[in-house]
Amino acid sequence: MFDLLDKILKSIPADYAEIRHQHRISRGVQADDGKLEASGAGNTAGVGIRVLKEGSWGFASTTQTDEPSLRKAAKDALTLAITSRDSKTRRIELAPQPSIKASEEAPARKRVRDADFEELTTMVMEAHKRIASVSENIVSDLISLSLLEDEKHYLNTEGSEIHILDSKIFGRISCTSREGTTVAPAFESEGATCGLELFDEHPLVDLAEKTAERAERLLHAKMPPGGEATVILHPGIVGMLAHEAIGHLAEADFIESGSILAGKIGEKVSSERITLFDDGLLARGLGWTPYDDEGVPGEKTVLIDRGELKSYLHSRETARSFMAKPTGNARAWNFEYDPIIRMRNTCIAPGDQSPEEIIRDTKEGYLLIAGTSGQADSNGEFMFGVQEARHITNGSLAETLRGVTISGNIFKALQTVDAVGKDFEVQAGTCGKEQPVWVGIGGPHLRMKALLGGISS
Amino acid sequence: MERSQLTEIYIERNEILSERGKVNQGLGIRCLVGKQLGFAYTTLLSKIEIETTASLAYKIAKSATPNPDWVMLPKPAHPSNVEGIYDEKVNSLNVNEAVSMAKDGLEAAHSYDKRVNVDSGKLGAASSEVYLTGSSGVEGSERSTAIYLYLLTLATEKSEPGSFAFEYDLSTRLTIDPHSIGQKAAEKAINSLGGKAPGEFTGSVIFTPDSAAEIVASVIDAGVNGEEVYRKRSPLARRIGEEIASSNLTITDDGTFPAGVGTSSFDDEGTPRRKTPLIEKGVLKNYLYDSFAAHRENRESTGNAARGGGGARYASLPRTAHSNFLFDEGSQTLEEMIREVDEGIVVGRFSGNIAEASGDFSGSVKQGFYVKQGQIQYPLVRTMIAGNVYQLLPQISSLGKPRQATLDGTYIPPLRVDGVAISTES
Repeated sequence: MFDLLDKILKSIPADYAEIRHQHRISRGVQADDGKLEASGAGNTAGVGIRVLKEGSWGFASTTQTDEPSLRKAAKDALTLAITSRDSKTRRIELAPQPSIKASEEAPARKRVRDADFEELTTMVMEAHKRIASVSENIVSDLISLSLLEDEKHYLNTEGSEIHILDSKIFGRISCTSREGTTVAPAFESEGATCGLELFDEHPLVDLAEKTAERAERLLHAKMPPGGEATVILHPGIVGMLAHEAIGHLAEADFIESGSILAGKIGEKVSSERITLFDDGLLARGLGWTPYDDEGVPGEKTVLIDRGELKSYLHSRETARSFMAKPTGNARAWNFEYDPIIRMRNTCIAPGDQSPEEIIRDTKEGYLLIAGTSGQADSNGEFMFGVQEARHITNGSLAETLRGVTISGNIFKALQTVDAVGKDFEVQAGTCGKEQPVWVGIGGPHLRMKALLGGISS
Repeated sequence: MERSQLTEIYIERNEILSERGKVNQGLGIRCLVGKQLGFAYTTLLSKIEIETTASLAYKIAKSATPNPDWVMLPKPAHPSNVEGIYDEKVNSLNVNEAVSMAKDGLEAAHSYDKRVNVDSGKLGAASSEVYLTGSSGVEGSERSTAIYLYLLTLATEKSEPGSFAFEYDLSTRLTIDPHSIGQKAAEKAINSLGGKAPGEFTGSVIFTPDSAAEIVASVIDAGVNGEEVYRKRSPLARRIGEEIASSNLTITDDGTFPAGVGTSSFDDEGTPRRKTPLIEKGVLKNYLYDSFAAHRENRESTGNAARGGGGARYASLPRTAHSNFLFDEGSQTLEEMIREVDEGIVVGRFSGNIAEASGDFSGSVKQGFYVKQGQIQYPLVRTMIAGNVYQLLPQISSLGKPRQATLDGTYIPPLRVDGVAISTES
């Protein structure tokens, strides 16, 4: 594979060029109320070529991977770079990056390409049966599995040659319970960079049961009172905050278009208890990216170190304009897209207290267990939905609450963090920014103050 | 199987940001074994890869749980005659030409007035070849092309911004005029400068084709979809033959419309495209179906199977969707319609929520104008409208001309609705 790509690469009269070949094997199974809706298998191969000529990018891709087609794509990419050059004011330059020759393989014992559809179908149908067995109040459920195996070859004109074999496993369960006019939805997901052994270690039926039990429990839950409250966040919600409310604001392209973190490197932005990182090498994290799609190693980047803002997330292009080092965050969903700045596994680092201690030490507050979705603005204002909460009084867990939201300004909220757990959990997530991407989000349990609200569902 | 080529030029903040040339081909196999369904696709098209894909689709079907709703696949039939959906000039458009068309649009907007900024835009030129064959005997092949350019502009005067203006054109042939799109985008942006809020009142609303497509067409489109009807999510379920709209409203789904954006001789499972009356003089006539949805309800497919939905068509199973969603034109131009309004507003664009299932909408008017005694008085700011499309349908007092095509194949003229609550954002 490298030989043909190298030949094409050497034929491009550009200042810089890179070529990415990707072969993706995908498997999907989805059951809607126990009816198999859309099982399918995909086999996609193609090449993306990006060239830099006199400070202007050009990009072309093709699924036709014979030599003449690749030559045509290379020529198109170059022509696009040249013809669009005079309508671009900015001249692109890249931060230096030593050339790398490497090969990396995600740990996967049961590979996606060997997945047996009968086993997958059985697994999904058993999960559906388990949901139905939890309660008669469960009125609908949706179970889906998405499995990908990616083989990627990357070459650039600076001499890098990188081969990556990646494997992503993702399962999602949602169900809705109803009693009278009360409706309660719940969902859970499980995902990692590994093989199908994930579901041997974490059976889908268990996840199904957990989701269904929550939906049932929430039917009888009360709505919370509004107002400022002490909240203990579950690692999944901590990860969501780390990614949505902080991580995006530290993406260098976002810094250029007016993020509140612009110009704040070296400043204190949170409580000293907070250390936040984005790590491409975190074992099994769904955002595992040993080398990004510009051939930059996926090392751990500390964004906030004990409260102080240390770094942004960079591509080679933004690293050059910020006079920083590239951080390995240039990722593309597939060969048909050029890489842009994306997070990988974004987490808050663990502290020194056990979650039980933190709860015991809380006189009055709420434990927020699972997130739904949320949004965050460029000024740090955020609002997230929470599926389930537990009231805490005098250090003990009391009644279950539903329809909870938390909101506030993330940087003000992070100043109020007064306890960080020594536990650590990474969850699987997806993120959309022009193109989708799979990420890991996580952290320990964490206690802070936030504005609690209630929404009726 | 589909082979497509696509050139995309992205515009952002007054300049060309990036550009992509894509060539994509692949083949998808849908396989029905009894009532079990399997699906597999590949971009690798050697004989051995295709055979592997076929046997994978079969294996997936064999391991699937049976779905009793599966009755049969489409029978062979003659594809419909269609014209004007392929233009060699679009197919052979090279990347230089695409870049220079995008530049023309950009420059026309800038030279119209210095106060105009082009926030973003995109030129897309696509050509595609589709081949379809089925074990029931269906067979067909077809080539088509499409090209579009849109620009989103904003004018600012004394650091007071107007309202974002959107202008575009699309065609199956190389007939779009980037210069005129740029000029109109700029003109709209300038016309929205110096806006005022009219306060709260109940009056007439004239929806331009853009806002009418966004609010009115999208709701009816979901309502007449056989899939939504079956799932009991459509308020139009069990209402065939009833008068659901004002008698001046006639909507037809026509997959054979000459040079239509959604035109083809057969749909994405091989059923010939046809003309299906949906609403005739206000009376609900039909729903739209692909073969799966049709057989489930003992009906015939209306030739509305569509694949893709963002991705490559070969990589997904068919679902029910409109082809060309055609609203009949009225007799007046937009200007003539405005002249008849006593008090009301023109809604150029809409930014807010539309619940397609229920028909509820609420949000801000963009590119809007206040009209009093038949005259445009001033552009609008902080103006909101809210209502329910199904409740508005009987209140459509007139439709105008000409109709305009949206990117998804809705052809809609301006339309006027009376008695809408208009309010001011706090």
